[in-house]
Amino acid sequence: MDRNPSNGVDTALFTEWVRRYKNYVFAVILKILPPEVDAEDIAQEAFLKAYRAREGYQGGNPAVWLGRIAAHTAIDVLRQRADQPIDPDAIATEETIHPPLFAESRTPEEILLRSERREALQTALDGLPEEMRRTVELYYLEDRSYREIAALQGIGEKAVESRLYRARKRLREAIIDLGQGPDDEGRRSS
Amino acid sequence: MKMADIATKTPYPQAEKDGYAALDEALAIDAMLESIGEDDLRRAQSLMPDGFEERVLRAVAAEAVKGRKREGVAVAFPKLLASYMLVACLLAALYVAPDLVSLGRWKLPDFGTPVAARKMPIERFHDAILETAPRDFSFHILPKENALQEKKDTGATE
Repeated sequence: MDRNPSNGVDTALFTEWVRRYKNYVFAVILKILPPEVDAEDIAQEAFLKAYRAREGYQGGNPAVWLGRIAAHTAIDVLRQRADQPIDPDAIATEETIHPPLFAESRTPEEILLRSERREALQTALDGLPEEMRRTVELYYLEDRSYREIAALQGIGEKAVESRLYRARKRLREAIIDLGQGPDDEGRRSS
Repeated sequence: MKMADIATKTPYPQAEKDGYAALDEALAIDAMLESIGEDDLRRAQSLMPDGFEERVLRAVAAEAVKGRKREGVAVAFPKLLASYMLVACLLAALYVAPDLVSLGRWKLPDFGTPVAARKMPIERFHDAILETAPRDFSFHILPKENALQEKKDTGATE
């Protein structure tokens, strides 16, 4: 048995997670990737990445943890494909998850939208309680690890993760209030 | 934005990717994860190829074996290195201070070949060893018959 004493995610438990959350992981990947990409391979890759990274699992809902890894795996695939020539037959019409997230600022309009988005993010960040804002800045803007942030702020690593989760939730709400949510973007683009 | 746009555009240009982009991406992923509902799960189930779970589990099992092998190497290598270091230290000690090491001050007798040594009468072998051994070295490998004879002789004398 391959037991990891630090967090209890051994191979047996991970196997159970594969059985229980395979639909969810597959759904995440289908939501991000265009239909011509083989979702099966990407889903398998996502599970393997999660298995290799299981020591980093800090507890909480395994579905969310697996879903986030699956989303990053799918986004990496999109980024790789962006460097390749486009197949006109592969153009799909299905709506996607979050327009501004994937929009590269190529046209003046896109540059303006991105600039507005960044301003909204900064405003939302400024509205967070001091300690929460500092945690977000340390993690996302200063690229510090959970361990470093925990030491700097005198809290546990689990508390760092939980604080980041709550902060992101508040940021999303604030951005929607500022008219920069995905729905607003969709309305502007159309 | 259409799916094709996702496929042809990156979230932020790689050169300009910064903390704000990472944060923006994390917010979008959170929103997407929360948006997954029963319909998405049913669609995923219907599109999932047969045997997907088995393939993933086989890949995970193979990864577990690889992980154990890596751990095995990680444990075995230092042990091997330590044993080589020990041998190297002994050799170095023999070279630097042979008088301090008993092997260094004991030049074994020349028996010729191992076969010759084996065929040599035990008494001669015994004497040859004692002649060359350091003074404080005690050694006794007389065969059983000789030992019994010695015992009898001693008993007879007494």
